Amino acid sequence: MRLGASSARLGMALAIAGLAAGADRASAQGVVGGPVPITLNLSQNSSLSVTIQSGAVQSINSPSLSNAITPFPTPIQILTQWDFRPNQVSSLSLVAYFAAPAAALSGPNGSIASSRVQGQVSSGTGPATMASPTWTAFSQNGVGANGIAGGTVVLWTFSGLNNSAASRKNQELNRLDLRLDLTGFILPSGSYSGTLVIRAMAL
Amino acid sequence: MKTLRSLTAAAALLVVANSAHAQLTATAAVALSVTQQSVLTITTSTPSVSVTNVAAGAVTYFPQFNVTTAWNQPTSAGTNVQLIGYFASANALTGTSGNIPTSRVVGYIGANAPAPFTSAVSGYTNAVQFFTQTLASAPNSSRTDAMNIGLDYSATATPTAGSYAGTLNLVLLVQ
Repeated sequence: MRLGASSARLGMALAIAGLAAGADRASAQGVVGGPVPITLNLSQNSSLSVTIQSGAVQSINSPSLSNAITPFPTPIQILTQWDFRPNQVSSLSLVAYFAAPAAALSGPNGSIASSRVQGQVSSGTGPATMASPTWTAFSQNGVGANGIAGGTVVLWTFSGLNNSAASRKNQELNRLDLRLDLTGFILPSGSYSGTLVIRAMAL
Repeated sequence: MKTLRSLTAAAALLVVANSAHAQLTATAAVALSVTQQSVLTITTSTPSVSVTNVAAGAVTYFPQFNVTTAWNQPTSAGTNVQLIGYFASANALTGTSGNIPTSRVVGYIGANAPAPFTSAVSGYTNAVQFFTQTLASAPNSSRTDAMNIGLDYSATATPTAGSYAGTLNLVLLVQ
């Protein structure tokens, strides 16, 4: 959006310069001042974004969560888009994690550890390699600095990033399913809430 | 001027160096909410029990059956969990030849003594309290008890010949 505004201002400035030059020509009656070369520079920064297209709010309300596996109701559609400058990054990863693994969801009567929440990347469209195509507990360590130790599921990695235009500017669309695995665990009655962070990191 | 150009060149190199080691991140969040509803259930191993011929001078028990109770309650729901059995009226069983009063019906679980269904327990009359336990010590729990229900004609004459039927109600109460 800033670039667009700058372009508009630049266009206006050029237009004003053109009018002034025209005025000079008219008044000089055939004497031309210029042309004046103007160097145009653009520095387009790298960009990386993660968008939750659907499923950003998940809710389960049941009397029988204990000792059972219960899926969250709707899949999460995640769109990751990137546009990197050449030679800037070589790898990209997308992880999902809970900031506090011991209490991924917490409530007045206790908490649910991240290891009792599982994720599965059911589908992916893009150049990345799926890391968790089967149900995986949120107890992984992440990718480098991306994620929280013991509270992460790695969704995908893209280590083959190169300077080709198709590699530097691309996108990945994924479906992430979540479920609660309370097998062998009695959940005290009450409401629990938590936040699952989806994070992309380029290095 | 020359110094300024040198500084500008150095700054440009610095930008390149920084961009070459850039770390970019982007995050989004999914809000999760889980509600474990309160649970309070009773199940019995059989829907009905029968006896034929009440013995004189004794307590005749129906076949023993199991009662499974389960609860998952916030401690704010109450102090105790109670299993209560009661009859809706003072006549526990009725028949074409008369009635069997609740005073003639006894019940117990475990090592408890048989008690007639003549008490008032937590608002239930013609009742027996089978167990009570503190909710705070076990807010999420379940138990299975073998229940014994008998007809006590140890001190009175046996019922008049005929068929009798009645309904014992079991309630699990957190209070």
